[in-house]
Amino acid sequence: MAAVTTEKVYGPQEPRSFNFLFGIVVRLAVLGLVNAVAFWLGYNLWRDGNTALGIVIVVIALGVTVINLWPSLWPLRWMSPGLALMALLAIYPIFYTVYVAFTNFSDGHRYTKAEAVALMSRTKVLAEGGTSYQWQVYSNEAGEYALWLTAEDGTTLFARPGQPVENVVANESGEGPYDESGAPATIDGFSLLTGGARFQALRDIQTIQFGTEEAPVGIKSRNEAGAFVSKWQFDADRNVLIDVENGTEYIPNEVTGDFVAASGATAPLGYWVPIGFQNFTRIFTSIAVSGPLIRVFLWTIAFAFLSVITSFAVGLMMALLLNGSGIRYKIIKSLLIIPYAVPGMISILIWRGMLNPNGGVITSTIANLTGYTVPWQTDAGWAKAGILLVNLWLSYPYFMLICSGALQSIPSSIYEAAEVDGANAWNKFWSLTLPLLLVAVGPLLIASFTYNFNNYLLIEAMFQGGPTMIGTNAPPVGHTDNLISYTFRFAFGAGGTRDFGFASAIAIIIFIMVGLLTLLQFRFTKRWEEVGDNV
Amino acid sequence: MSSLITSDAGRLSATRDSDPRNYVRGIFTLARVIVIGLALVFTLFPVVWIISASFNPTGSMATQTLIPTNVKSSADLFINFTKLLNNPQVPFWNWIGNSLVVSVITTVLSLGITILAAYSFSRFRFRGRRSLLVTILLVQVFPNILAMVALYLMVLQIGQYIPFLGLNQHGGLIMVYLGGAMGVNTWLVKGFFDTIPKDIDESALVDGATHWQTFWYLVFPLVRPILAVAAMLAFVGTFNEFILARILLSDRQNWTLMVGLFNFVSAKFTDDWGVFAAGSLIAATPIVILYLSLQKYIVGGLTQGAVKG
Amino acid sequence: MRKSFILLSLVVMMIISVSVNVAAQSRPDLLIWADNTRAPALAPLAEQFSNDFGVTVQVQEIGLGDIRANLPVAGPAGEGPDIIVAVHDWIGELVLNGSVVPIDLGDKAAEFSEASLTLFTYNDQLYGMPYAVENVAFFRNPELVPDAPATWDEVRTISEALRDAGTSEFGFLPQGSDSYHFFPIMSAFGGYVFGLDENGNANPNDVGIDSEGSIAGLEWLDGMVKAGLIPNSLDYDTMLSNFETGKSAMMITGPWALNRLNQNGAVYTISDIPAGPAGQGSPFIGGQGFMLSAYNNNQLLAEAFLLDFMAAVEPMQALYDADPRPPAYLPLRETLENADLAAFDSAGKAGVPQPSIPQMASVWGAWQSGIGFVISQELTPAEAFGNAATQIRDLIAGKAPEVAAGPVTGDTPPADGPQNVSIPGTVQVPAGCAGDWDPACANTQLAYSANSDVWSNTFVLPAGDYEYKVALNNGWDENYGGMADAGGPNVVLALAEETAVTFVYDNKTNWVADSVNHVIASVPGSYQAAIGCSADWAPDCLRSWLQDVDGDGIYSFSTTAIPAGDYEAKVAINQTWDENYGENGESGGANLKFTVPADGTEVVFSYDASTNILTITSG
Repeated sequence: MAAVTTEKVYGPQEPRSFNFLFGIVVRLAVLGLVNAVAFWLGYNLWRDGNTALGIVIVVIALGVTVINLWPSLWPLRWMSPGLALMALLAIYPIFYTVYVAFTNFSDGHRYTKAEAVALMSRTKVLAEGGTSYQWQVYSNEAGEYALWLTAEDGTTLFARPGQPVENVVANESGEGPYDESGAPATIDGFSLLTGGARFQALRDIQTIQFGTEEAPVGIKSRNEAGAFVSKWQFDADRNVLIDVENGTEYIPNEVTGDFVAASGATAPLGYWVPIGFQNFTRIFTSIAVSGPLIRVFLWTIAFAFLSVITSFAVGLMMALLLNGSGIRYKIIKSLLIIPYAVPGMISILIWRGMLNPNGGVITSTIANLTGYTVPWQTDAGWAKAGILLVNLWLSYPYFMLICSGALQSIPSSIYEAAEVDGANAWNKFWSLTLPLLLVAVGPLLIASFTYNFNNYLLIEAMFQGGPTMIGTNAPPVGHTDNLISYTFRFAFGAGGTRDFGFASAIAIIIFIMVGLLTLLQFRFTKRWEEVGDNV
Repeated sequence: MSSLITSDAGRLSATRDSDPRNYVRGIFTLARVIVIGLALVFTLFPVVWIISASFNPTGSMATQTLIPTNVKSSADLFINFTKLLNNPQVPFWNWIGNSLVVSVITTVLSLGITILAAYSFSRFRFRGRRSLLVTILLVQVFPNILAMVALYLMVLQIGQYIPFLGLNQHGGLIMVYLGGAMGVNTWLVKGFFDTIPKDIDESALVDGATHWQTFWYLVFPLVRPILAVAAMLAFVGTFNEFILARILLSDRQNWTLMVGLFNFVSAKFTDDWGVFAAGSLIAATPIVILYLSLQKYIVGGLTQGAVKG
Repeated sequence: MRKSFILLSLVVMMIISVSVNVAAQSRPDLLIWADNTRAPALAPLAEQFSNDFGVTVQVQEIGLGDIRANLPVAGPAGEGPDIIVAVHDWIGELVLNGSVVPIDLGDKAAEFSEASLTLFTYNDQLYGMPYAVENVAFFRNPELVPDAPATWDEVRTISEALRDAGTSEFGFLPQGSDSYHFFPIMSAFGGYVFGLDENGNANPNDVGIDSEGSIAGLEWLDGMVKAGLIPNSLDYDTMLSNFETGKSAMMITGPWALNRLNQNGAVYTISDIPAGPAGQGSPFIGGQGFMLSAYNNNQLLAEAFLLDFMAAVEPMQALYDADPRPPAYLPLRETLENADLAAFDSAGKAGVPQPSIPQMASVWGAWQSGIGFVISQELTPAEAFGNAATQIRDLIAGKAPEVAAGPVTGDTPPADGPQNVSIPGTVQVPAGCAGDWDPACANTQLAYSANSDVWSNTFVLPAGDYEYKVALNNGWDENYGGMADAGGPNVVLALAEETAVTFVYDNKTNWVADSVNHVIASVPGSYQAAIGCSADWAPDCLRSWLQDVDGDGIYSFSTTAIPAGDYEAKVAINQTWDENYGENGESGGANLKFTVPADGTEVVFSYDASTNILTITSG
C-alpha cells in the first residue's frame, strides 16, 4: 500500500488552465486546513496524555497531504477522504483491539499506573495527631473565605487562608444571632453563608488551604475539615506507593500490574501492563479444553451455512416462480421484500413476541391446532429451528431480489440453444440457470456466510443463546450460542468482571477465521474481475 | 418447468383441458399458486400481526386477536398511538427528526466518499490497488463489538477539543458512521462503474479532458440512477443502525428513532406490546415505502453490483 | 469544477449547521447520570436547584446498564458524572475499579432506614445515599385463597385443591426459572447463596447453591412440577397474566408489578413469604441510591447537593412519584400510608441483602439454569443444583487465577518470625514472575494466616514438571527443601494438567508442602479453639495441620495445649469438608472421640494417607 505507482495513464495529464490553477489553490487550502486542525488536535491530545490518538491523527493528516501532493500517488487522491476516515475510525480501533489483547486490561486493571495513583490519592486521611472538625463557611466583601470549625469536644476555631487559626468561643465571638452550633452570623467582617451563597462557595473552597503551611486546615467532606492528607502517596524516585496511614510500602509489580506490599497485600487499584501471549494461551487452555467449544463451533458453522442455504434456496425459488413481467408478479414481489425493508431490530423483537411460549401467536396457534406447545425457548432443537426460521424470514427477500436480477441478465439465447438440443426444464435449470446464477451470486453467498458467522444480534436478541446445555462447564453455554455470543459472554458476562484483554484476544481469533473466509471470497471475485477486464 | 424460466403466465392460463399435457401444466400452476400463497402468508403474517397489534386496544400480547374485537370508538383504535405520542417521556417526533438529520448527512457525505473511491478503483490501475480493496473488505468483517470501547473513547477524546464531534452529539455519530463508509458501499459502487465501458472516458481523455472532467461530465451522469440505490442503502443502513448510536448518544432528546424505540420498548415490550407495535409501525413504514418506490432500481443496482463484483 | 466547489461548500455548510445546532455546552457544576426512570424525575429537581442556588446541575440520561459500564471509561477521560444513580449490587465492581468513593452522611444517616444503609455498605464503607429499598413478597388472590398460607407445603395443598376443584388452572406460579424470585422459596428450606465470613460479608468461597437446604427448596418445586401444578416456560409476563385472569392464585413478585396489576384491575393481597423447615422465607433486599463518582469534579458540592437538597421529603417524593419503590428515606416513608408498601416492608423484615460482591455475577446464570432443568424435568434437583454449584465454583475460581496467581492479602506475621515467605523455583514464570528462582518476586509470595499460623497460597499452574524451594525474607539466606532441610534439594512437582496447587509452609517445623505431592490434611474437632483456632470444627484452621516431614506417608501433629476433657475430631482434606474421614478411615464416617486426662498432656494425631485412618493418642 505504501508504494503506489501508476501502471497505466490515459492520455495527457492535467492540462494547464484556469481550472487547473484554481484546483491547485483549493487543494492547497483544503490540505492546509486539514493539517492545521489535525496538528492542533494532535497537540492537544498529546498534551493531555492521549498520545496514541494524537499521533494517529497527525500521521493520517500527513498521509493525506503526501497523497495529494506527490504526483505519482494521484490515483489515491480521490479516495483520500475515505481512506483517512477509515484509518482513523475503522483501522485504528482494530489496532487498538490487537494491542489490548496483549495486555491485562480488565476490571481492576483499567488504568495506567499514573491514573491509578492519581485515583487512589484522592482518598484522604487525617494527618498524624490531627483533629477533625465540623465546619461552616464564611465570606467577606473581598470575596475571601473563612471557616468556623467545631471539634468533637466543643472547641471552636476560626480559620482563614494564610493566617494562623484563631481560637473563638461559641455563642460569644462575632456578632449574633448564633445558630444552633454557636456560630455567629458575622465575625470580623466575614458573614456566615447559607442557601445559594453557601452552595456557590462550595464550588470554590474544596481546594483552598486554610490556616498556615505549618498548621493547615482543608475540607475533606461536607462533614469534616482538618489537616487531611492523601492516604496513598507515590514516591516517584524510589518507585514505591506508600500507605501514609500505617507506613506500608507497596512496590509496583510490572508483570501483574499491581502494587504489592511485602506481606503480599495489594493496593486497592492495579494498572494495566503488557502480558504477552497470556490471553491467547488462556483461550486455548481454558475455553478449548474445558468448554464445549467444539459444539459451539459446529453450531456456528451450521447456523451460518443453513441460514445461507435456506435463504438462497427459498429466495431462488421465489425468484423463479415470480420471474414474469405481469403486474401481479410485481405486486407480489413488492410485498415479499417488505421483511428486507423492516429494521432488523424491530423484526427480531416481533418474532420473539410471536414465538413466546405463552400467548405468542405462532405458538398458541400451533397449540390450538395440534395440541402441542412448541418449546421454542426450552428445547435445543426447536430453539435452533426457530432461529433459522427467523433468519430465513429476514434474509430470503434479499436473495430473491438478487436472483431475480441475475435471472434477467441471463441471455435467453442460451436457453434457445439448449431447447434445440432437447433439454427439458429440469436439465436447463441444473445445467444452465443454476451455474450461471452461482457465478453471479457466489460472492454474495460467501459474504452472507461470513456475516452470519458473526451474527451476534440475532442470537443474543432471540434467546440469549439459550436453552442452556446440561453439564457444560462455566460459564453456562446455550445450545444456540454461536462463537461470538459465547465468547463475549465468557469474557464479559458471567465471570463478574470484564476482561477486555481476553475478549480482544477472542475477537482477533474470530477475525482471523472470518478474514480467511473473506480472502477466499476475494479469490472468487478476482477471477471474475479479470474476465470483466478482458471484455 | 420451462415456464418458470421463460415464464409466460398468460399462455398457461389459456391452455385447454383436453390436452393431457395440460393436466401436468395445471398441477404445476396449482403448485405454483400454493407456494406463492404460502410465501405470502409466511412473509406478511408478522407484518399484518404487528399492524393489527398497533390498532388493538387490549395492548397485551396474550389477548390480541387478528381483528381487533373490543374497539368501541375510533379513539380505541388509536389508543396505542396516542399512548406513544402523548407520553412526555417519548419525544417521538424529535427522534424521527434526529434520525433524518443523521441519516441524510451521513448518506450525502458517505456517498461522496464512496463514489470517488469506487471510481478510482474502477478506472485507475495502480500498484497496491488489489491489496487496498482486500483491506477494505477485511476491515468490514472485523467483529467490531469490541471496537466499541475504542470508538467511545476516541469520540470522547476528540469531543474535548471539537465539541460537536463529541459524545452525545450527532456530529460525533456521523463521524463514526463515515469511518465505515468506505467499507460498506465501495465494492457495490465500483461494480456500477465497471459496467460503464471504458471507451467513453478513454476517448475523452484523449481529447484532453482531465480525469475530473471525464468523471463529472461523462461517467457520473451515466451512473446517477444507479447511485440512487447506493444512496438509499446508505440511508436505510444509517436509519436502522442502533448499536453505535445507543452507545454514543446519551440524552433522550438526542436519540435517533431506533435508539429511542429500543430503549423505550425492549425491556418490557411484552408488557406494552401494543405501544411497541405502534412505534415499530411508524418507524418501519417510511423505510418500507422508500424501498417499494425505488424497488426497480434496487433490484437492478444490487444485481449489477453483484454480478460485476 | 465550479459545480463541485458548490457541492463542497454545501457539505461544509451542512456540517457547520449541525455543529451550530448542537453548540457546545459548557460543563455544568454538577453532572448526574441517571437512567430513563429516574432522569425525568431528577431533571426538574436539578433545574430547581440551579435556579434557586445559582449552581448549575445537569441530569444526563444513560441506560441503567451503561451507567455502570461507561463510568470507568468516561470518568478517567474527564467526561464522567459527579453523581450516578446506581443499584446497590454494582458496588463490588465499581469499588474494584476505583470508580466510586465513600460518602459520609454525617447527621443525615439517621434519616435513612438501617436496611438501606447496610445495602450500600461495602468493606465497612458507605458507598451511596440510598433512596429506595425493595424486596419481593407473596401475592395471592383473596377471592381464591382467603387466608395467607403459612408454609410452602400449605401452598402446594391449596394449589392442588384449587386445581382439583376447577376454580383455577394453577395455584402458585413461579416466575419461570428466575433465580431472584426463587430465593425466597429456597431460603425457607434453609438454602443460601454465599455464606458469610466473620465480618458479615458474603464469602465467595462458600457457595451454598448445592447445600441441603437449597436442594430441599428445589425438591419442593420439583414436586409442584411433577404434580402438574407448574407448566414449562413461564416468565414475568405470563405469570402476571395468569394471575390477573384468575388462572393462577398465588405468586411472588415485587413493587414493580403494582402499577400493572392495578391498571388491569387485578385483586390481590400481599403477605409475608410462607415458611419452610428453616423458618420464614427470605427475599433478597436490593436498593437504589446515589453514588459519588471517583472522577468527580467537585465532591463537596456533590455531597451538599445530595445531603442538603435531595435528602428531604419533597425531592424524595418526586422520585417516589416517578417510580414508586419503597423509599429508604424515613421522613418520607412515614408519611406514606400505603398498605401495599407496609406489606412489602413486613415481608422484607425476614430478608437478606442481595450480595454485592463481584462474584455474584457468576451465580445468577448457572443458578437459574439449575432451576430451569428441574422445571423442564431434565435433571433431578440434586443434580441440577450440584451442576450449578460446580459451574459457579469453576467460574469464581476460573476468574481467580489472575487474582490468586498474584499476591494475596495476608495477616501481619508475628515479629519474631520471617516477614516474607516465597517459593522460588521454576513455578515462578508461570505464576507471572519475570524470572525463575527469584525469592523476592511478589507473585509467588505465601500469605501468613494468623488463624492457622502457617503461610500458604494457591497458584494455577499449567501442566509440566517444576521445581521449587521455600525461602524466607525474600532472600536465599534461609531456605528449605521438602524435608524441612535447610538448604536442602529442590522439591519436584509434576503436573499432568493445569492444576491449582496450594503451597503451605509452617515456620514452626520449617516444612513446606504442596497439595499435589502431599495431602493437605487438618484435624477439625471440638478442641480446635483451645489450640488457637478461631473456632472449633474448622477444617481450614491449619494449626491442626498434619505434617509428613520425613515423607513416609504418615502425617502427624502433636500439641500440649488441649485442656483436660472429652473431645471429638475428624480428618479433613484440603481445608474443606468436601473430603473428610472419620472412624476406621471411612469417608464421612463417625467422629473419633478422645480424652485428655490432664492439662498439658501431649496429644498426638497421626494420619495414614494410604488408609485414611486417623489415630489419636494422648499421654
